[in-house]
Amino acid sequence: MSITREEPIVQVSSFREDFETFYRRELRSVTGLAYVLSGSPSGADDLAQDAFLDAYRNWDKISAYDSPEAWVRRVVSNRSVSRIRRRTAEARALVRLRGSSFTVPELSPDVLATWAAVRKLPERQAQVVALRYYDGAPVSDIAHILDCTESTVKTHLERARQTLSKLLDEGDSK
Amino acid sequence: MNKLEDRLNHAADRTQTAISHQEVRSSSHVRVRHQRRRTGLGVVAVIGVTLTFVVTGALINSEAGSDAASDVAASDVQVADGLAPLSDLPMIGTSLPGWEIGATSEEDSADGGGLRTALYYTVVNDDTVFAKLWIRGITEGSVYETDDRLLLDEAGVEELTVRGHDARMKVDGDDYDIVWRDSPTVLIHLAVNTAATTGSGRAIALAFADSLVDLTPEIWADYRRATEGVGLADNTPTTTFGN
Repeated sequence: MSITREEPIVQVSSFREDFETFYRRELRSVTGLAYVLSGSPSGADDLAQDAFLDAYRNWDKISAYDSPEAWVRRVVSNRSVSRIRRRTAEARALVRLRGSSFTVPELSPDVLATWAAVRKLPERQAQVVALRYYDGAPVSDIAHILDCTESTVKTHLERARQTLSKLLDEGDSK
Repeated sequence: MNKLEDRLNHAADRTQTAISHQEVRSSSHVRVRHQRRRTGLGVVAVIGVTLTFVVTGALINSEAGSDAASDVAASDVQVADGLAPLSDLPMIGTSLPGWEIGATSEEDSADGGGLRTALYYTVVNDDTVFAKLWIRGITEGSVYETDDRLLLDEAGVEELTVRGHDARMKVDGDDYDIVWRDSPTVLIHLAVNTAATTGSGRAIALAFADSLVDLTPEIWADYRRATEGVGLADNTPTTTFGN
């Protein structure tokens, strides 16, 4: 059973929290999302750090958004698919600045195979599946994160499931 | 379908559980991990050697031409170590030893209005997505036009010619995005990630584009078949894809 977030991502912020709190709360989840979509533990770390760096630079603006959490997930989703990025000097500086980082642990072969199949999907389908299953986001939140309609999300989910069934069945039969 | 749901939920559960037990490292740990990663990059360089072989033929041929628009046919591009010719890459259903090729279509609609469709080809080697090629139709004037035409207006975009086709390339670290298009509502985009390669990432990305660009009419035909009936009939290119 997947872990579904108890509180929706999309919520109206009643106050502007500081970046440090936001960063520490979201780091694990966002890095995990980047891993699912990039397939690279170190690359996921880089992607997450890059996204948080962008958030940090523009925190005055982003902290006023209804959902900074959705914003950082959108950035990671858009940059993750098919991309494994090396850490930039600026991202390294962010790690030093914030004093913490996070790496994705080793996972079992069946889990790795499942995420590898997800990454073979078209980018939108992969993003939708990762947000739905890894991040536990409902369709409405996914639509908000990816800036598309809920019906589009449902379409991508359905197509992704069809393709994934074939991919994973083929992988099991090898 | 329940089997799939179970598998995805299982993967999510295991991943989240593993991550929840993972230590958030201090900056001193980060430095140690950086040193280890350099060693890891040496391992993936083995893959890079293979990919260097992959494009060697294209590089030699393209550099022999008078300019970037070389006379080398895509079918001339051969690869080493048992991999199939690059010219086969965009063909749906083609079995390529050493490569896994995925081809599928997708549609997107936005709250702000507009529709876009795409036919995707993904080139995967050793579970790493090395390249993605997509042909995409977009509703003119929609929010997607802004997204997809980003390369046309963005700073740092290099204008170049690939086999006589006007193209634009944007480089972001190891990521090379090359776009060529002949219509305001059609986009052909090649994204190549050269992080796991050795040698010139630029040369590798351009060689890949060079091997694919002449197959545009074929993938356009595939795109029309894959997205038939979704309401983007006006996306027919206004000019031909040839020279």
